[in-house]
Parts: sequence; structure tokens; C-alpha cells
Amino acid sequence: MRMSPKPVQTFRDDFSYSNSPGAIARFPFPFPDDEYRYSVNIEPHTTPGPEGSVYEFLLDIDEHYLSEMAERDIVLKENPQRCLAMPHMDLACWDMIERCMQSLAADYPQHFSLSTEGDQWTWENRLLNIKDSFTFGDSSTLPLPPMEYMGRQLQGDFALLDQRDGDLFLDAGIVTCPADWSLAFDAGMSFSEWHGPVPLAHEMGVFERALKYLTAIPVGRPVRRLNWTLTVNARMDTSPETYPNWGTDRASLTADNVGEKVHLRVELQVLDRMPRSNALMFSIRTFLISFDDLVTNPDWARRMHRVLKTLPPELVEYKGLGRYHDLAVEWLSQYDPAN
Amino acid sequence: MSIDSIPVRVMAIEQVAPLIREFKLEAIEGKLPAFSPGSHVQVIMPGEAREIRNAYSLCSDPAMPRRYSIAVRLQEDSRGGSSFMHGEVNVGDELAITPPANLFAPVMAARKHLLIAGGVGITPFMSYIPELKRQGAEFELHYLYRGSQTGAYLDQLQQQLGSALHRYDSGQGNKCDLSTVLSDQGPGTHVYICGPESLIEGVCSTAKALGWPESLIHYEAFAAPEPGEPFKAQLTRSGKTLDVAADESLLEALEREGIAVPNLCRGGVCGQCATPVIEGAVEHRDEFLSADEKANGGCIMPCVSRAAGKHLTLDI
Amino acid sequence: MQIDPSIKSRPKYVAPELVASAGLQLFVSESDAGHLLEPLYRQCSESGAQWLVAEPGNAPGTLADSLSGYLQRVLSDAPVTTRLYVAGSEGFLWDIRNQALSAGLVDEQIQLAPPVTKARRLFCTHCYTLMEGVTSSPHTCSGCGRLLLVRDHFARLHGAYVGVQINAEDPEEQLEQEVLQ
Repeated sequence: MRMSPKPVQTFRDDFSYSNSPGAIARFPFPFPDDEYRYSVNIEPHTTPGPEGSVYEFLLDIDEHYLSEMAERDIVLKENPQRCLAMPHMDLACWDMIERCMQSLAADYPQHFSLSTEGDQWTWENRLLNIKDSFTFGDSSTLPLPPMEYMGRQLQGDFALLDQRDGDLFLDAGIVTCPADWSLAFDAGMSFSEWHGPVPLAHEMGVFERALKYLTAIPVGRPVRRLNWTLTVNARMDTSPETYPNWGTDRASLTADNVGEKVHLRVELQVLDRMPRSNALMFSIRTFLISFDDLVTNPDWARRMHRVLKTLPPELVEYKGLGRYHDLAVEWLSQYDPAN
Repeated sequence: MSIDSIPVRVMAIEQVAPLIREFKLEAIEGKLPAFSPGSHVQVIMPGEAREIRNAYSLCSDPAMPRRYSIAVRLQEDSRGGSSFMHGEVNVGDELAITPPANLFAPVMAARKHLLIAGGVGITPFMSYIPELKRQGAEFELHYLYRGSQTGAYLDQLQQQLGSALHRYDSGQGNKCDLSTVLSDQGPGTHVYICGPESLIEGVCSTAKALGWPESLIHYEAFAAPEPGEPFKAQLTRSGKTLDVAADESLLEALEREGIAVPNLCRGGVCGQCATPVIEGAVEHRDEFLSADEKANGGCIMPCVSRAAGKHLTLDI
Repeated sequence: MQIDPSIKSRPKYVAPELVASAGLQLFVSESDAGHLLEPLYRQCSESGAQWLVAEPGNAPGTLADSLSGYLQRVLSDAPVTTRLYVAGSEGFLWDIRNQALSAGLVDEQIQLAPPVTKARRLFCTHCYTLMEGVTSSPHTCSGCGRLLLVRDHFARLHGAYVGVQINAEDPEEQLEQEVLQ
């Protein structure tokens, strides 16, 4: 089932965010096995994927579109440095604009349209009442810098990775709903540096292999992987910048509110080669589902329990679950007949 | 919008040097993707005995991606690719290409770009030069060729580059003194080499002797698969056994049997076609695997590498 | 909380070694760190080597104008085969390295001696303030006043480690001070 955007809900304060039955049905549950293991779990993002699934198109637009755009606006107004692009990334930003506008217009013609006459482009986003004409490649003809202009119309975080010397560098991005990483601090880092805090995987050579694979991605053949963590409350902006605002959420959990408050947070990460700049576009599309909604699917409930139970302590720590890991495992155990 | 291969039509063919032919390609439907300087595509040729795939640098201006150009040198010991392109392809013919990939991009932050081309190795620089000019980057081109065989695009380059072009026609006895070219360069000068192995080797060793940091030296060294001894490959997953002929690569033999192996460069560089080896010694000919990985023998790059003996067992 | 030894973004420093084939041997140090480079400098011929010395104690991320300007001039005329050796505090090392990169050098040409002190430059992830000379964790941010856990995650561009509020989950938590290694 294809999702239509619904009126604005919140990812903060009263947390009015909710998933419809259709959104629950298409949730990208990330665990192929009962035991969680690291792997280079990268696969081709061949589109169109299954109709109505989150894999159908390059960019997924769902019922939370307006809510996420409103949330992004709040974050950027509070802290404009959550979006940045180093000067040498201008061409890559325009690559991103072309790729995203063409994809959205082709995949969601009811919401978006693009007309081009040489380098004179007109873009219309009917969901946000945007209609702009500009000269392709000339940033001065856009109402906002290109990364922010495009990023404010896309669900999920985006980074543009410059490829030099066989490595990838985090040189541009719009990051307002990260799972605990700071664009301002990580800007300019190489692939292995910005993954520096990730435990275990370095020793396993995961990043070395992944980097060789990623630097060879050709134009038109995006790849994807899923990543996950848990978040207390339906909070999109779990950034280090705002950690003082959400750190206490973790201490607010009790056996009675786990189902309502703990959310599985899944990132659909897509890497796509930008044709002119040879940069990689890294999109991180975040999906949140409460444990209450998750356990409506008995297979998911059982597997979620087993994954959490067998999660190595290093990962419990890294994902920031220490304070409530046991509570979550205990709560989920009621859905696992093996217990 | 993921792309496997793009059907193209040959719009024009031009003899740009005695042994080099340029092909202008246009999409049969829609537009060709934009590309970055240094990109290459694979051309998929319907050869008589088997499908042939060769990687060629795009040698047109990246700002004008409506048409791609590739230039193909007729190889004396052609395994079929270049003789097919020279002998069988006519204007109006349809071919298929893969979307562009780039393993040889210029470092845009460089203070100066020193381009060294040997023969048909001029091709990637034909996409560099318009972009470097647009960016106002400082660069010079040192072009080594044999006028009786290669030396494509000389007039055009002379006109565009003026004194930034340095030409060395070995047929006329003009030698390029690499030591002079590489001396007295300022900080942030990056050198790029595309051409025969001997040229790449010469530049690398000269630069190293002069004290150049290795990370300022870039080269594109697609090894065309060299023929070898025939061998048998046993495939455990599909249960098939195939005969790899002397003049075909293992990758080509796998494709002939309908076994898809991801690949980009078909020259032992990109690492995409890495295939696990269960049994049998490998003659490694690729640039991708580390020395340890080669010694360990657990993996083969079937685009260029072969069995060291009479057979291999592969986990595929 | 323990400092995680597995964090891979933390630079590892080794004593510099002279690269003999350099067209210019360039030494840059803070005044109290010269001894780390002196043995190398002595091996060089006078014509092929230069040494620039900085006074310590500059504001974070800004080298003294005189050194910065002079280094800029030296680097713009330097040969492509230049080798750069730097000694001083950790923040200084990366400031010099970043300036060298913007002049076109690559990391392969640059050797950073082990920092002369264990003091760190700290980046507050909440208000983006940079602090110099941080020797223990947690450290109170001079910008926003929050108590920051000093992590080993390091950004070369800032020459700094990241600091994250240590008691955000439980403001009542009793914390032990740890001397940074």
C-alpha cells in the first residue's frame, strides 16, 4: 500500500507521532536472524522494489512526510549548523538536487514535478507548496544553499561523501535526525575516522572491506543496508547536540511504559554515486516503531527479544541501551514462547 | 532507477590516429547519465563465439553527457574486443554499455595537475582537460606517442592547450625525460599516468627516486586479461564444471555459462568480481588483493587471474 | 566511565624519522618541543632544512599570525618533495597539519611527533566551544557550563576530542574525576 502524507505530528514534547496499520505493515524490520551479527550487509538497491515497500523507490516518501519536514525546520532554526557543505562540494550538491528531483518527480508525480529547458529548471513540491525556478548549477538562483534547499524537502538525513585517494570524506550533509552523531564534529572525517566509535567492527575488517566496495559503486547502481538502534520516545533528533534534552528520557522507563515509550529505530541507508562530482550520496532514512506496535507482529516480537538478549555488551553500551536493556528484554520475553 | 546496461547507437566513427578509432555513442532511449572526468564504461559486444566486454575511458567533455565518446586502439594480439570494434562496428549499429564508473578521478583540490599520457592512454585525459579548464586549474599534458600508430587528438589539444602541451613522438626520436618533467614541481602537484605498463613503471620509479610522496601519484592500469593455459573450473554451488579456454578469462567463461558475477573494470582493479576459491592454486594477476590475500589463496579475481595448474574449485 | 581503547579515530603518534630524499626538510615546533626534532634537524644539510618556532599558548584553532603567515610563504615556494616535521601540543600539531594540507601537502609528507603534553583540545558537542589544555574528565565547558565526558573520538579538522554531557541521563550521578592519558 502506498502511503499518503498525513497532518503534522510531533517528534518532541507531546510526541503525537503514530504509525497507521499500513505504516506498521511496511516497517523495514531489520533482523534476518535470531542472533544479531555484524556483517557487511550491503546489497543492491534495485528499483523499483516491491510495490508499496520502503524499497520501492530511491527515496521513500510516507505518511510522516509533513511531520518530518516540520521537525527538520525546528532543528535547523535552533541550530543552523546541523546543515553544512564545504565549498568544494557545490557540484556534488547539484548532483544531489538533480538525482532527487528527477526521482521524486518520476516516482511521486502526484506530489512533485520537474520541468527542464536546458539549465532552466522549475521544481514544484505540492506537499510543501513550493514552486521555484532556477538555473541548474548556479547556487545563487536558489532561495537557500543547495544542500539545505533539497534537504528540507526529503525525509531522512543526507550526507555527501567526497571520494579522494581511495577514501570517502564526510564533507557535506543535513543531519537533523541522527542516531547520536554530530555532523559539526564529524565534518571532514574519513570513512574509518567517523566510524571510529563503532566497537568490534574495526577488528573484523568490516570497514576496510566496505570501503573498497563503496568506492567502486558506479553511477545508477545504488546499494543499501539497514542499521538499527533503540530510542526512548518517538524522538527523531537524538543528536549529541541535544543530548541534554533527551538523556533523561532513558531514566523515565518502567515495566509499564516500555511498550509505549521504547521504539525500534531503523535506518535505511542508501549509497548512490553522483555522476558529475563522483561523490557518494549517503541517505539515512529513519523509521520509528513503538514496541507496542512492533509486537502486533508475533514473528517480529519473538525475534526482537532474541536479538536483544544475545546482543554483545559492547554493542549494548555503544547503542546507549545500558540503562534499559534488561528492562526491554524482560518486557519482550512475554512474546517469546522459548521463555 | 537502477541501471544494468544502456542500449546505445553508434552515431559516428572517426579514425583519430592510424590505429585508433573513435566511436560517438548516443542513448537509443532517453538520456545518457552524466559522468565525472576519468570515468569508464564497459562496452558489451556480441562477438561471434562469445560476448566480449571491454572497459574504455570516456573521452568526451563531462559537461556534454548527451553523447559519449570512446577511442579504441587496434591491438595486435587482440582477444576480440578491439578487432570487433574496428572490424565489425558501423555507424548506426546498436551496442550496449554499462553506466559509467570512475576509478581514476582527478584530485580537484590539487594545486597543479601533471598529466602523462602514452598512446591511447590519452583517452581519460580528454575528459579531464575540459573540466580542468573550466575550473581554472593549473595543468600540463605530456603526451608520448608513435605518430605512425597513435597520437590521437593532437591538433585539437595543440589548439586548446598551447604551451601546456608537451608532445613526444617516439617515431621522430623525441624522448620524454621524466626526470626533468618531475623535477622542480611545487607543493600539491599531482601526477596522473595512463598508458602502457612501462610508462607507469617509469614515472613511478622516477618520482620515487626524486622523493615524491606516493599519494600524489595516480595511474590507471587496467590489465587486459592475458591469455594463459586452459584449465577446468568446478563450481560447487551450481554443480557445473567449465572449460576455460586459453584465450578467454575465467570471468568470461562464467558469463558464458550464465553465471552472473558483479564486475566493473574487468582489469583486476575494482575488486567487485572477487570469488572464493575452495581448492586449487591461483595465478594472481590483479592489483586488488593484498600480498597476504594472494598468498592465502582463498580468493580469485576471475577477470584477469587464472588457475596456476589444471583446475580450480570455486565457491560459486 | 572508562575511556574506550577501541576508538579508532584517536591518532597514534610515533617519533618522526628523517626522509632522506626530501627537497626541503621543514621543521615546525612550539618553543618547548624543539628537543623532539633537534636530532633530525642535525642530520640535515643547512641548505636543505628550515625550522620555524612558535610561541605556545595561542587561542584554539588560530596560530599566531606571524607563524601562520610565514609558514604559508614557505609552503607556497616549497618543492613537491617537501617533508614536514611538527612537534608541540596536540592541537598545535593538527593546526600546522591542516595549514599544510591547504597548501597542497598530503598526510604522507607530514610527521607529527608525540604531543609534548597529555592535555587535549576539547570540542563541546552541545555549544561547539573549543577548549585548550584539558587534562581531566569530566571537564566543565567554558561555553555552556555543562559537565563533559572527554571521549577518545578525535576530529583532525578541529584537532580536538569530543566532549558530551556526562550526567544528562541522571543529573544526580556522583562522578569521579579521571586524569586523561
